[in-house]
Amino acid sequence: MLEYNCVTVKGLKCFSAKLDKKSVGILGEKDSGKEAIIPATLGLLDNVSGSILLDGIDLLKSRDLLHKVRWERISAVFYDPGTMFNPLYTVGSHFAEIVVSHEIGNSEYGVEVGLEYLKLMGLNSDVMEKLPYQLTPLQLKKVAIALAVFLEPDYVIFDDLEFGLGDIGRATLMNSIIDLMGSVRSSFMFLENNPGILSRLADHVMVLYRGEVVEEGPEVLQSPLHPYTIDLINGEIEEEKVEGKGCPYSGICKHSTPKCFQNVNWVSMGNHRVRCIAYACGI
Amino acid sequence: MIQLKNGPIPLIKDITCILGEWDEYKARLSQSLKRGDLEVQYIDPSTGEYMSRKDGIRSTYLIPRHLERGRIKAKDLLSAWLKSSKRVQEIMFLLGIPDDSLDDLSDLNLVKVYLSPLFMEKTRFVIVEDIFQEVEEQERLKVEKLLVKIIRSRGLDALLFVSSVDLISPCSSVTVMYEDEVVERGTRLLHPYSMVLANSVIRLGRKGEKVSVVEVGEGSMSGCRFHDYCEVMRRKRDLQRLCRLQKPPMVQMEDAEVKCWDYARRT
Repeated sequence: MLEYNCVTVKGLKCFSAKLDKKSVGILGEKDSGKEAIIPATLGLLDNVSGSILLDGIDLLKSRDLLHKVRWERISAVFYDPGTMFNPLYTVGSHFAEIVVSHEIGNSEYGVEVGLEYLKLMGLNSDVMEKLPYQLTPLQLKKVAIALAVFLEPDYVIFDDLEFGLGDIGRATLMNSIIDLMGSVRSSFMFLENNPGILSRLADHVMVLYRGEVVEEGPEVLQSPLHPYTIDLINGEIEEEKVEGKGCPYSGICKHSTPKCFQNVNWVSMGNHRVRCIAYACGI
Repeated sequence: MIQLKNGPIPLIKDITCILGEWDEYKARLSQSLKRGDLEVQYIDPSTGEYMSRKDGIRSTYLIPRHLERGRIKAKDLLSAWLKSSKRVQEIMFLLGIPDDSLDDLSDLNLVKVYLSPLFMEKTRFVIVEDIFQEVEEQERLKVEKLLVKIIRSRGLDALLFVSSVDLISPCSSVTVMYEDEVVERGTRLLHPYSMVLANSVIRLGRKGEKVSVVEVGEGSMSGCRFHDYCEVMRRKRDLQRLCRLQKPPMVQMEDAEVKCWDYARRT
């Protein structure tokens, strides 16, 4: 199990989540703090407090394990897949390099296994010979996904699937990921700002606003409770992001009352949890 | 108004939209319009007078698809563009642009910076490349609303490249282009490519529910450009030979024009 316990880093405040067999979706706009989750998990950030437990081992305290953990246990697809590639090497070399550097096999093995995952993503074998710049944005994204899953790590984290893609591209990519999820044993976490994509990929959704989780549950997108989630789904978010005291959304929430400026506790309704005073007071 | 002699669209007036996935063909079209490489006639939208080619080019502002960021402050960049600190202050106040560096601006505020030159006195025409794909989902409609508000208030003529059917509502005319070929004119979205675009918008759904869309790649050089990805052709055997070998004619369907054998045969 991958467990985040009150992880706090710049932009993210006391983030707690569990990723086991089911897929988790983190819904949030740009600068909601979701951007920090991948770098914090892969040990790319300093000054991270809290704990990130991988089967009980705290990754924040066991940095020497990170080389083994990255790609083999936890991998990621970054929002701009171009940053995952060395522009001077072919796609095939990237598969080979990961396998060789992790001492899993030789380069032929890496290319052979990678090819199967490229096919799974709907790509042809000739992609292996191409340089990253020769690929379309959709192909690049698909290769990045194949690269992240080809060692079948336990957990794969995706950041902003749709970045730089048109409507057709993102729809076909989402369809490919649905197929992929049925073919590999990895568990997935999606960091997204598109509720439509998350509703089709995630079993459990958490909503982040200004670094804080305000709502979570399996039916968050179908029956949203927090005013922020409702506004986000309806596309009615205010342009001005005023940080509120207490509830982080109280600064611009249409339903805000003075009570919202106090510390707002979680309210549970079955397996749906929300941090909004309206539900705490039973309004 | 910009009248084009041999372009894919006859004229650019009010808000003329080209709907289709952004590709090198559309990039080339937008660049040639900006450089004045095409055979065009410029007519001032505010006075109705003919403009020289040189003035037309100078009055055309291009908003590129990729909005470059950087450490430069919004105010400094706008001062360099507008060359009047008073005007810069007015525009920043009007649009609510914070004086932060471009790196720190939200997507919407970054777009506002790039929209500011539309307030320049000389600007008469604007070409907007598909900037919407680089803007967050939630801010796309806001960006479009702001853009349309500025275009209308300044009385400009605009050409918008959009790849999402969600964004065509303010367009005064819509031309659907697959690669460099016009496949439809109008908002009815009859052509199979237009239908793929319409179906590819992802709405809330159930876990594991796919969107009914085919991956669209490079077009074919023979027959209908889109036939390799066409679901209609796949379903109708009698269309296969036609679609694969012959270019379809543009046919009128009530208030729309569509270039598809399925409609051509019906008429």
